[in-house]
Amino acid sequence: MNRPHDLGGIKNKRPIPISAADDDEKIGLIANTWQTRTPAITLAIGFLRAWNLDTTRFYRECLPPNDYRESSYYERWFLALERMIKDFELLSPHKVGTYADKILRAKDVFEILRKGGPSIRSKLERPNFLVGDIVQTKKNYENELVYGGHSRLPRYAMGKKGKIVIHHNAHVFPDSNAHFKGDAPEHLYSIEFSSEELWGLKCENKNDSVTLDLWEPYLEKADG
Amino acid sequence: MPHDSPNDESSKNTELPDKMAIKVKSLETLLVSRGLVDPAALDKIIDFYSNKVGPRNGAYLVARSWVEKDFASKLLSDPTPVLKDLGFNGRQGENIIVLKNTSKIHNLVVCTLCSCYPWPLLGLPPSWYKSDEYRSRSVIEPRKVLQEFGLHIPKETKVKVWDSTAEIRYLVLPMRPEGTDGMSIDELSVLVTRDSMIGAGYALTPEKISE
Repeated sequence: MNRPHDLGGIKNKRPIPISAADDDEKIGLIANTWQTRTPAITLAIGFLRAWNLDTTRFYRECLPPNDYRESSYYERWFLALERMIKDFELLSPHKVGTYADKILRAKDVFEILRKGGPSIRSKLERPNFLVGDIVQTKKNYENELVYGGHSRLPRYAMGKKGKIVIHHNAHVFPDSNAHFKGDAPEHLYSIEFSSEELWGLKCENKNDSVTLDLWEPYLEKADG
Repeated sequence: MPHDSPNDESSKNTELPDKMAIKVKSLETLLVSRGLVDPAALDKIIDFYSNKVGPRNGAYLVARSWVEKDFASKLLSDPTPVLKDLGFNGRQGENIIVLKNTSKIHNLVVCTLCSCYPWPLLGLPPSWYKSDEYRSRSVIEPRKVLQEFGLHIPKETKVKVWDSTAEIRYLVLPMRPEGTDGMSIDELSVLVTRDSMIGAGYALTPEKISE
């Protein structure tokens, strides 16, 4: 499966593009350019609830790998948005009026952005793991609910042992939510992996670590 | 031809942004004509992320933590009520964790899968944070990456990278710089850079500011 977005640990010899344009600390949506309009449109149209945050991530990840690689950050957003509008038939004649009461209005913008949309949920089942447990991520993990679907376990952290450092309670499970199969809350943990476990001989310093936030279905009991 | 640095918007040739500008404008016009998007709402969104949220929010939290021990311990142990009180919660900041940098531990934040970032506290991410270079390299060679930001982390200091793979967002609490005794929260917050709250910088010293 192509995962053009799954970039952690991928060989890249280029320096970090630290740009002077970033120095004014008011980066992001400073000017009224296409780069500011694109995320604004994406956000606004997201409130129609034709799809959700996990769906938008999935669509960006599903761009043809060459398009993904050769596009700038907000071009990726734009390409994904175009596809979603098409796939969800937002402009189709039989959808006229469907979203009339959901249009984001200027007067509501500040309030709605300040409110946010927490992903924490309650779940009756107890967590299978505790803080301090050593767990193992599944090898070659793929979405277990939808073939070829969205998942948030990076390739570099598959089949690795780590230690649970925080339990965040249950959160919306993206593997389900991206595909409209419900919140399906799963326990979420911050798991610390030693650099040596992740990178072997390539690790820069044995004391270092990388911590990832992973849902329970990505994990199994550590063997041995 | 692939671009030298495909996701640094600023380094692209001038032809492409124009093409994109036309495409984005056409899509917006179409969506507005169908009544799916209110153009005034787009202006409000841009206003919000330009003027209402941004790294000054994070800088205030850091500076106040340096001055008030009690505030710092609340922010580190359970930030949500603190952020709610200050009106610093909101989209992409629903679950914040604050990571304290010390001489023994240096925390650095990334999102290798997309570009998750604590918007209400830091605004929208800088282009380097969204770059493929940063997303690829910061997990495998964080020390080299930090060197490019001018940070030389001693061998004995543990580098802890946090890959934001879920909806938890991280804010780094940088170390208080030398020579800042007796300074007020307002004076201190000027020293707190955006990069220092990602872990890709140190807070500035007062000398650096007066340069």
